[in-house]
Amino acid sequence: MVEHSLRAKEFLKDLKYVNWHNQALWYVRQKRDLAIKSIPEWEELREKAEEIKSHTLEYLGYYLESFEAKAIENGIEVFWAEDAKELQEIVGNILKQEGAKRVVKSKSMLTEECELNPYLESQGIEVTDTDLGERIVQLANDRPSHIVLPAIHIKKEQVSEIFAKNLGTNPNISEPFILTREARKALRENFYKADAAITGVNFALAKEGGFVVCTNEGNADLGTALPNLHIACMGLEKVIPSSQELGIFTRLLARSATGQAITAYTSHFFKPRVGSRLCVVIVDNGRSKRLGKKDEKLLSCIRCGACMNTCPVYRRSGGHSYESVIPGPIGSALSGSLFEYASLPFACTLCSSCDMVCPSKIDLHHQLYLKRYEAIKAPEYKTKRRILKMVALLLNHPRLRRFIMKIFRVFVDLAPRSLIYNRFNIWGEEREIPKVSKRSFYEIYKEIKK
Amino acid sequence: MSSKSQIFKNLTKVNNTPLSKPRLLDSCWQSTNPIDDFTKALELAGGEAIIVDREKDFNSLIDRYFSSTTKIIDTRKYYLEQDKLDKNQTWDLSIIEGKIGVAENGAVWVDWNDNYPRTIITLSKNILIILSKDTIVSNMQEAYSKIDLSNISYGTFLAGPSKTADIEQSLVIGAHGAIGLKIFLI
Repeated sequence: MVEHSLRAKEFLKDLKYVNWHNQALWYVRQKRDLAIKSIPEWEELREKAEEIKSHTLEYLGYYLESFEAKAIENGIEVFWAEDAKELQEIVGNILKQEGAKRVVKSKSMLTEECELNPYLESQGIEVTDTDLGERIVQLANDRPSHIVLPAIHIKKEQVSEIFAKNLGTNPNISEPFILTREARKALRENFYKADAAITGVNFALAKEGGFVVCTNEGNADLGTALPNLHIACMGLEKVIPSSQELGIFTRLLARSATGQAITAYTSHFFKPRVGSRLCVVIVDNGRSKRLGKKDEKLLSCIRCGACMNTCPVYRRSGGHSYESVIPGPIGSALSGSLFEYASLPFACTLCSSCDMVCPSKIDLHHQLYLKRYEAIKAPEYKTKRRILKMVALLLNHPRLRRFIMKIFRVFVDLAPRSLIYNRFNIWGEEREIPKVSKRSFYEIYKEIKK
Repeated sequence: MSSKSQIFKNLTKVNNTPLSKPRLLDSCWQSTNPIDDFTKALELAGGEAIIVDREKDFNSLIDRYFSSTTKIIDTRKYYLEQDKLDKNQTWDLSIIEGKIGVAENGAVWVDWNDNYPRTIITLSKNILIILSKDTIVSNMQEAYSKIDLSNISYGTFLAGPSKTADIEQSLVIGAHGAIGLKIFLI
């Protein structure tokens, strides 16, 4: 099982680094706050997004069917994948058909989730991540620690080292401008040589049969403009009724994500280029099972990352401590039902800051609270469950509780320090137990009432 | 059984035809000075808007702003034969007609004849968009109600040049695509 708290402890060893990480994310959160001030109807926009998403989920089958029909009419090839393995095979087969050996990829959390890169590499296909942050992480053999800012955990000096090792650049230069130019130069070659492009999908339009990809770098646009094959991978929850609803979501996405009014490129793909193939793979991978369940709302996520930037736990523990593909509040909620990730719903203070910033108004803190009921059933939490049962017993038997507490008060007062602060008292590792009152609240209350 | 029908087993309850869909917002932020707001938003996105009074000033203005450019592709000028074009052809300047400008974010909708490659917005160092002042709307909801998407294969809202802040949140203009973006407002 992933132990978030232990991973976080590792992260917290270097306080200077933690503060830097915390500040970097808080800066993005502040930019978001500034950006939404110019929109007086911001809250109504969020309500609309919530309404449109839940409407689409209510008629998901219908909207997916119409998307498919219209996309085929547009000359797009549509594929369906039940799970990660099927996505891998579909993409692998299409690439094989075309004899594609080199692929440029723009950012897609879905392909991360389905571990597409390792699969394609095992098939002898070279995959180049083209988003700068993802490229840094790829070259470092690392993993993204944030869904919008994949390299937020890496300092520029480390980027300089990574580039020097892999691209042969000057290891003494860590100026972001120069590093970005070097990456641009190096990646151009990958773009030119690519046989195929893989992208994600931000929004799929049921009425028009097209889809939208948002980037700041233009990497999806450049990648798909050169080779004669474009494969777009989308989770089935990405569909919205029509382009008209983009008038809501494009106003929310970038402002929530980075505090920009809109991404530099908001690109709409409707038909393949002349003489080229355009394929869309619609992936389920467990999504449809959430429909009608308590956590259905998690399917409304538009992957802006705002909940991570605002989360006090995420900012001070880093994306890697979650070990799930998607970290932070939404990631913990998405994977929290799996015993492997049972510690994640507890990596939360229930402060509900994430609920306040979520553009589609997902009740994240409540979702995390609900996930705890499932997570506590994990085999590793056997002792925790026993303790909780004992607590429940005490809470149900006031007399017994009063008696035990009385003994406890005397114990804390008289016992030597080593008996109270030891390896069983994790709580006391960083904190002092407050001075215990001689009389309980109940005793004082009873006396006053007289 | 196909994967689609497997997936749709879980979608049976959500497979009805909706009678209606949610209405969009009744009122959105309205710009009192669209040209001004558009120009400011574009500046924030790293681009620049220049008001051009007479269309015949175009060439001299292009000379002034893009003095050392030799390789120019202009989607308004001539019919391009793509076959003769190298796939990886780069340019110093792409001139594209903008269809709609958006005051709230400085974005411009561009789409162009399929005879021109899609690379004109990424493999060109500079982009020049010609946009009529009258086409500037206040917000994205209005913009989408006005764009005709029925007959295009690819189109995009461009907001300033390509950029990234992936290294320590430092904004760098020119990640993969254009390094500069100017808009002539006529």
